[in-house]
Amino acid sequence: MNCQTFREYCTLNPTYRKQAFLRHKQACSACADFADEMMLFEQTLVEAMKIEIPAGLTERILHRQTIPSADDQRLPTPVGSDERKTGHLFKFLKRYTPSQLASQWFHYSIYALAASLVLAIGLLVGSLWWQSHVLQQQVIAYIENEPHAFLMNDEVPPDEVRAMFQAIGAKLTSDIGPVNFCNLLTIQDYASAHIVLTGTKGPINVLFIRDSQLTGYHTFSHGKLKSIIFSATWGNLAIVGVPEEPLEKIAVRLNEAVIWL
Amino acid sequence: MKPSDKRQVRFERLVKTWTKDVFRYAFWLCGDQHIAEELVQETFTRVWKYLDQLSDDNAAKSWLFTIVKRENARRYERYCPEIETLDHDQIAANGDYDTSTEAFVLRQALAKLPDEYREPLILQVIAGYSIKEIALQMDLSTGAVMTRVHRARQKLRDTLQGTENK
Repeated sequence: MNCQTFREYCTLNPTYRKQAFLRHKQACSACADFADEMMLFEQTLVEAMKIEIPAGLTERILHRQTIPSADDQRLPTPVGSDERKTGHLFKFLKRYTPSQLASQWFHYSIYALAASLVLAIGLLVGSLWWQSHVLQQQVIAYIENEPHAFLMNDEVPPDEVRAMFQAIGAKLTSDIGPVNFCNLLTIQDYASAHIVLTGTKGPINVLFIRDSQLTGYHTFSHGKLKSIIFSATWGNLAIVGVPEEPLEKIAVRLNEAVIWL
Repeated sequence: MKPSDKRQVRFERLVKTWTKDVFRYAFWLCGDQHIAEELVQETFTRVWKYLDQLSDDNAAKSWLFTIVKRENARRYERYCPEIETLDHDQIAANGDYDTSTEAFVLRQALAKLPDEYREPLILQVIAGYSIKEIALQMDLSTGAVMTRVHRARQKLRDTLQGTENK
């Protein structure tokens, strides 16, 4: 390898490690100096390109895969016969006698009614699913943003817990067990209380969301966590823990332990 | 282990192994931290969806970089911002950031490099690709890649030397 070839390779990639390249570097001091200069530039370039990833990006990626994508939610293409297409209406009318047509229209009106009912039910279920989905996402997002809640081992003084419930217009009527963390927050503009209880398998996050209107009983899985959100007379109660915990029983007990003023 | 659990474990391994490199590649393609984050998120969403198509995890790096590039191209179809200067406050918010003058000048010069020069250089420095691998990834001849990398490096060195001489 001559000096010119060496310098071309070196400019292109100073970390080049072919035998002929290394041999020339040892033999030619001028080229060795050039290689050192290029290596210095390479190090500066590598450092300049080192952009640290935003905090929590890996976690956000892993979290995002649990949310259904728009593609997954796309509705199937409706199937329709040629006769039902507008452009073929005249052909369709010509094919039948008036009595047959009346009978056909009767059938179509029944189908249309049934389709409207299915659509209405679909919209209702979809809207309910969407509301519960949004609420669930907000609950999970909130819990994920309070990682220190999982680390608290000391029991919160009962007075502090009572004061927190009082702040959202509620009162504890019975013992709910040791509370390791409590906090006031707002979810979807609703005053809410967050407590963390010690379960048999790990921490249990409970959110009392006052006046939230989600109806029914919804269960979700999120990574290694399970969550339940259900409707109470005063709002919604969300409870999140590991699937092995009897979350349903705990939810019922907590709901009974709180009265709303 | 259930197949769904195996899939989950495999995905997590890919995310943890490659997020940093994929983010850096995305950042130097688009020049904006927030857009780069979106590109990375979109990339891994696609990876999750089509994970079963990746038969060999050793090919993951090339696959991921290809997806990032396509996602960035899709973004350009919608909106094509011109990168003129980098927002250093944005990228300096993260810990391990070289604050030297050389690094500052090089980042600005990198952002100003034409795409056809910047991209092979990013693949070489961040992904550690050889000239042949870059040629495969970019669907170019090795000669074309050599020319582009050489010019990119030359422009950066000239910029740096110009600053030092001032």
